Amino acid sequence: MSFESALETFYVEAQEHLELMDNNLLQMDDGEINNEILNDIFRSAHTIKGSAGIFALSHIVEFTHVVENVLDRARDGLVVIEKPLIDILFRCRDHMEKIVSLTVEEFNADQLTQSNGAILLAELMPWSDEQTKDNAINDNDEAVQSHTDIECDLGIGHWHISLRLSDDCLKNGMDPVSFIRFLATLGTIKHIECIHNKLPTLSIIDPEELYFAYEISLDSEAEQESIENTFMFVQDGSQITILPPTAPESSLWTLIDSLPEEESELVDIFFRCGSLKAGATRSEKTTTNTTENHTILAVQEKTTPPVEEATTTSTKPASASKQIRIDSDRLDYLINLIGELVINQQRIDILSNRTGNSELLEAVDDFEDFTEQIRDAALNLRMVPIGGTFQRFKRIVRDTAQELGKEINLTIEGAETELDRLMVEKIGDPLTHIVRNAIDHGIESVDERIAAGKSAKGQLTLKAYHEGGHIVIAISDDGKGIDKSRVREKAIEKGIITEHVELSDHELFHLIFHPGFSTASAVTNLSGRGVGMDVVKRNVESLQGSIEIFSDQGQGSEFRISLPLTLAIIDGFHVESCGTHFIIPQATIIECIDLHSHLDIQERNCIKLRGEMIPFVKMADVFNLTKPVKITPLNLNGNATEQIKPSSQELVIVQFGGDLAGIAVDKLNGEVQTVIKPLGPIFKPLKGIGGSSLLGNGDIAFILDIPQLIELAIGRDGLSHNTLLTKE
Amino acid sequence: MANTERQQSTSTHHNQYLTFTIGKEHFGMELHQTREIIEYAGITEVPLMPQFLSGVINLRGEVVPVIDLSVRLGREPIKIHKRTCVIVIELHGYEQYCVLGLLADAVNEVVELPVTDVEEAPAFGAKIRAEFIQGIAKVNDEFIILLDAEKTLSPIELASLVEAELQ
Amino acid sequence: MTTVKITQKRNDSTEIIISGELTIYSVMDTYQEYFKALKFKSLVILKLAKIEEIDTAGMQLILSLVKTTIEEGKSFQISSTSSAIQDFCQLFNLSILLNADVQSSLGAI
Repeated sequence: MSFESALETFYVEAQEHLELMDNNLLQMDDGEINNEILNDIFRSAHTIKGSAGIFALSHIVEFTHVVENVLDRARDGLVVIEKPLIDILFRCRDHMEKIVSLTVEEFNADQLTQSNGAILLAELMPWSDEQTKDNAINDNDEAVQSHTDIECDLGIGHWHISLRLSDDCLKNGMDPVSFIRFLATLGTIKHIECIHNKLPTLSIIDPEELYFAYEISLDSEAEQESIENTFMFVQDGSQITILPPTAPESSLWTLIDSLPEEESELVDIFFRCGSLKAGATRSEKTTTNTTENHTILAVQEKTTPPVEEATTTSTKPASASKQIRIDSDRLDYLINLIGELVINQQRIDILSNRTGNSELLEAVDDFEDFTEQIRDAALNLRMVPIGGTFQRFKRIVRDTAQELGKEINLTIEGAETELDRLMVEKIGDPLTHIVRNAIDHGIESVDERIAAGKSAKGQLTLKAYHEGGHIVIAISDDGKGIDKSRVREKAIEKGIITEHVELSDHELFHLIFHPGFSTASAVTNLSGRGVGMDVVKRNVESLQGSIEIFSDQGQGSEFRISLPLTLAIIDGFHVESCGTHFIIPQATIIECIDLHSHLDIQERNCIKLRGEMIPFVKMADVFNLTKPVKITPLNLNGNATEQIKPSSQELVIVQFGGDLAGIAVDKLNGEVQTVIKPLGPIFKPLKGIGGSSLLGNGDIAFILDIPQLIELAIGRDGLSHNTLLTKE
Repeated sequence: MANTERQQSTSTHHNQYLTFTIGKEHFGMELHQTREIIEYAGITEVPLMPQFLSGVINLRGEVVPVIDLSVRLGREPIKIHKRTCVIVIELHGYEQYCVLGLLADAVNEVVELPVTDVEEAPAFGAKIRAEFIQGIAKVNDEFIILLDAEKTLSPIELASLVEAELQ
Repeated sequence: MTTVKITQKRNDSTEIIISGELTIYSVMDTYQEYFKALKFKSLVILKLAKIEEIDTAGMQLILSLVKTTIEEGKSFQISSTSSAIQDFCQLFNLSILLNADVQSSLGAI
């Protein structure tokens, strides 16, 4: 692992730990104070400090050290966790996030951050034990000098660490000195033996190679994991053995056997380390076993079997070892390839059907099965739970509420709902804006709430769930709701609508998304500058999604964002109208019916289905399709053009939001899996079509954007919004 | 971008152009902007599009918009015949990389023109917006209108034309 | 930056003065330029007082130098050290190498 990639890993992990800290602090803030949470927070701070130490990021180490110290004292019950401390810890966490993003040089040049850090440390003072830092240093000095009077104390806390680090670790920018300095922060280094047997003479030395080997004894109460983590970045090509205090003496002998140095020399060294008692000899029992243990060690090159036994008590999260990080570009490349595979599979399907060879058809069938499974599995790789994004809001809600002097309880539902990684990344900003808006404008102040007969604490809910092939993310509050008359006034004032326009609730609410609209009487720091809600809508639409508002005055509002499951491949339903191919996303389809047998109120383009009025649009009308669209040189040369009657006989019932609508087409061609091919910037203004797709025979089909299509149809057919959109 | 290239070309003194014919007029486009020429094998119309946007084609798995340059330059729509071809060009414009197809009656040749042979666009007479024309050159006694593809086919402008059509 | 000054003296001794930083960033160049083909006289005197920064790579180079002179049967003397060197040696219990009786202790190398 190169230094850069090791450093990259550090940043990623530090970020994860900072997120963890945030969540744990939030739990404490909710009154959930227990040792487990404290331990977790401590461990996060500790790990960040440790890793930063390895990279000599002194600015991080120095600050985090104090935070860690306070947390440690809290664990020991020396400090009581109280609201002011939690507040400061939150700010410390934020400061850590800030300094983690800075290099030492940047930090040194950043006066503001430096002084912020100093202020925080000063504020932490009442809870910290100022002398700890000095103590730690004193401990080290003692440790260094203690080699003269070694006591053979194998008591509690005595760790033996044997390091044969990879030859190129110096080249990779990792100096054992930093590991040892870090170990000194975990406990007291009792003895270090720097073995220089391997060091060659000047004529043959490679000055950038590491020749030193180390045997270290450490007195520490730290957990195995922390000690192991010290060497996280040098594991490749290294033989690192960590013997915990609980390890039996036989494991030392196993270790001696596995090391390249002479046994007699090692015994002396181990004695000087205090890890072996004077005059100790291996018992016969262990001697017989050594050959076997030796091999295990050589292969494992990390920890000895006894250590593994001891590790069972440590609380390393089980999932950590099961996860690997993949470069997202590689993943996207794989998904693209699979997209091509899907198209090819469909082509093979068509070709094989023509042969009528049953054996071939069977094989192609199996092939189709597997292609589908591969596709699903690959798409799943991109899916991540939305919970991570939701978690961030706990903090945003807390801070925003505090700033505005409101009390808000955030409830999260459906955190496990998965959606495309790309979408998760892009939905964060719009969500943040809506949430801030809800807190700022939606939820009332404590006094207002009490006066309105509500509980003092406002309720904000973030919810994610699946609905008809879409992911719905709903942000709801129990605040004052949208003041319709105020919205109307404002819209007139801003010249967005004229005074006489009659608007449905739906249309009225959507005015909020109009660029330059803001209802807040006083512009606050957080939102209400009138920029944002239009951007929110644009962002959501760029993800092929839609957004709806529901609001009851006095009762609260709900913003509902509906997003497709993925952006790469969809299950579609292939239909045709006037020779043009369209794909309707399968997930939006409820059923297909024969139009004429249901045609009820023709002039209004509505049908009655099981007692419910359902509006419908004709594709031919919406897209002005009147002629066969595909012109080939062939039919220009005088061959008869295929006669296509624009009859629109089939009706596909689709669902969007909470409503149903019908799409009338000429022909139903069946299900297809299709790769979404974006149509590019030129076609961006075209509503109702979300992209294109290649059919098995190479023809191009257009993927319908159902919500947009309905909106477009309403515009053309003059259907009132009420019929379509407010029917709940 | 096109500007800097032109300035550079002053010092190199030669530019390569692909020349093609639409109707009775001859046009040229900088060779480095063209990717390939394919036979016209049908086109899929996109609903509601203005006339200059003929449709889309499937270019080995890529969906590529095809422009009727004739309409774009204010002339009659091109008439499709057996020898109609599609010139595939690549634009690396301000906003993003963009692949487009252009309908042409015939593709003629690649010519190397000394910069000195390229004259400035006349302010009138060509019936084409002056900014679309990079220059005019005379090859084999015929005038060739050298087009500025970045300007003529700017995705931003094309999109705004589409938007206007839809309203 | 590492600065090395090597003087082959008339009294059959080699004086080596190293100053500045001797770290992984400079060891290779320093080694190639000064030490790879260095010939020693009977007595080698090493002056390290001006070393401001040293790391494991730098320390290895110095120890290799010491080891080489001993193997060649030369006398060896470290006449001065800096605090950077002392700190490093103290951390790793290598101080003994810098003591006056360095020769006997290095027999073990």
